[in-house]
Amino acid sequence: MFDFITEEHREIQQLARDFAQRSIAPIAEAHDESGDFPIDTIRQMGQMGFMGIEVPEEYGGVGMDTLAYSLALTEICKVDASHGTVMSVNNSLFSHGILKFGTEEQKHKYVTAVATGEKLGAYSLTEPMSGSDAGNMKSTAVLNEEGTHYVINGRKSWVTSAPYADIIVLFVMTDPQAKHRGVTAFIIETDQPGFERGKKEPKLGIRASATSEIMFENYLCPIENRLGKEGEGFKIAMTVLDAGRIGIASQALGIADAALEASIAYAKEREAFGQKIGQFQMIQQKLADMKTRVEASRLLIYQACLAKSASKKSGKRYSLEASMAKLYASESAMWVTTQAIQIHGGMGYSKEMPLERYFRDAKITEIYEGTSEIQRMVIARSLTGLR
Amino acid sequence: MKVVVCTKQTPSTTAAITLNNDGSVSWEDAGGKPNILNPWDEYGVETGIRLKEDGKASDVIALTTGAPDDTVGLKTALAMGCTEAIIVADEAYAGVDTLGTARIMAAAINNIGDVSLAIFGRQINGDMGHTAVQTAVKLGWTPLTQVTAINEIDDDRIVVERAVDDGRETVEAPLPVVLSVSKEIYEPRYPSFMGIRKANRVKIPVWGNDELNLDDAGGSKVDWSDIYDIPAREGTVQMIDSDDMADAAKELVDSLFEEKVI
Repeated sequence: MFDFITEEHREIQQLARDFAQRSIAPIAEAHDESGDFPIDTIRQMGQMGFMGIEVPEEYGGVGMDTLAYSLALTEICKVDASHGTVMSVNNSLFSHGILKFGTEEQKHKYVTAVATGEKLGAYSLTEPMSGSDAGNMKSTAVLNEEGTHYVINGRKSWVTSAPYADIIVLFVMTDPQAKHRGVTAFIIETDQPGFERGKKEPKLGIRASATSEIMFENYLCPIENRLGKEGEGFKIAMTVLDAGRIGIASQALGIADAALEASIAYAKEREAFGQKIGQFQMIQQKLADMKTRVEASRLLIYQACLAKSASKKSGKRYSLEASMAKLYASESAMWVTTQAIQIHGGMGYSKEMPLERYFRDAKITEIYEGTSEIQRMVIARSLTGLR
Repeated sequence: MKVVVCTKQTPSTTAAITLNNDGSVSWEDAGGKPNILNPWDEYGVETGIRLKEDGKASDVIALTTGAPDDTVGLKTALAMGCTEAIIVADEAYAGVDTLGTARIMAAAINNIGDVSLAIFGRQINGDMGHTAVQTAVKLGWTPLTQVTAINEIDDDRIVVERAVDDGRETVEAPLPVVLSVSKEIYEPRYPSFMGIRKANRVKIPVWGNDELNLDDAGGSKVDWSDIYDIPAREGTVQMIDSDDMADAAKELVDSLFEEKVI
């Protein structure tokens, strides 16, 4: 039916599934509990090529398309969304931005290091007082008198993988008066003076994907590490987020898929009032609606993947498709995991089963890389052309 | 130094195996992967790749025999890091036993030429574990089985550690040798995505009698006269129902004694 899914896509998907089940499944629960970053499996994923699936081979990547990335990410998130978050940041937010806007030297130096698993990347846009409202950020970069370095100061929050990241794509203000047109992107090496990692954020879900604040105090960033032109940062951030949204949609799909599979198995096994609970119409209705939403999410994701591939030739943006996939898949994941807990009853509420983890992990997909409200705004603007 | 890793494609460890009414066996895998590289062979492949990474081996060639399209295991070996793969497939070799497999492997290794080391996993054929030794005999090489570590290797000799009853022994042999490696030797790596892409670009040559010049591989001296499902184990649950915990415990201990569990 889906002849755009090649044998090679299937092989990538299968390897991701094997790895997730054999190496991530045994540790997922413990890392969720402790909130410790699973650095060993993340490094292993880097070596296997998980962090640069769409990165061209000349920059150390696998050179596949967005569909391959989405299929692999879905399999990882079906077992553990935290690993998926780290994978998503490295592939899309980090690598995509540098590949699209970086110099040849930046691509070779930074994308290759992350795509080959040698280093871990991160992406930092959000601040304590600004998220989707990126034009309101307070962190600044000022070019020094010699014109060789930018002096960066400020505080960023919610940076995924920050406790371990080696390289960060950072967005700060070079012209605060110009609001979002004053945002500029930089590539930051975290082993330089003036960079500090802050406290780890305790959070509801994706607890193993360590997220923390980062602080800059007179950090000197060489001018050659500016990504794109001054004032181009907001455009870069938004372009990168289009790509990122397909990843978050795939993450949501993986979580929902896992919750659905567990629910089907439980409905066939658990008995109440002398019959399998799957024989009750109210459970049947839940399962039917869950499955339908999961598959509808999958199709929207496929559509977005194809739109992104087509955009490489046409140059046409695919914000509409990416936002629809993210909006629908993330809200479906939240809904499906809620139903899954209801089907499992007390067992679903217990930490002895992973259902409550799926439920907690699903919530973030409605929030990060553009909230559901932002997605609706993007979709509506795309339909009407009105702002 | 050329290294050959002898492998086999087997049903997936997650496949559901069905014994059909005609005595044949078929299998399906819900995960969509009915066949895999024999898990024991992953250790052999890993050993070969490590020798390459350590600068000891120049070529690591994965070898198998079967039907021409039984290449799933070879593709995995390539995706893990083997440099080449060869499949031996010829109607004349159908249905061979372990000795026949050994004849095929030995002929193929000779045909590759200039091979210093042939590596097997612990077992490759029908859970018998003797194909490695039979291949060594056919080649006239030294077999070193149950190898847990390669301590030293150069162009002329190899020093390995072998698992023996109650311990380990270190042995040295001149090359060429046939090794069968145990699970302790290395943890096999996963294939990489890049490896999968490279493997898909490799054209795997199919060798037959024209290349190997074996009249036949000897068929099978082993007759699989009957294959049957293992009878399901019957178990019963005895519930000890008592208001007094001490009585219940005593009854439990008595029944465990009676059943000779304790």
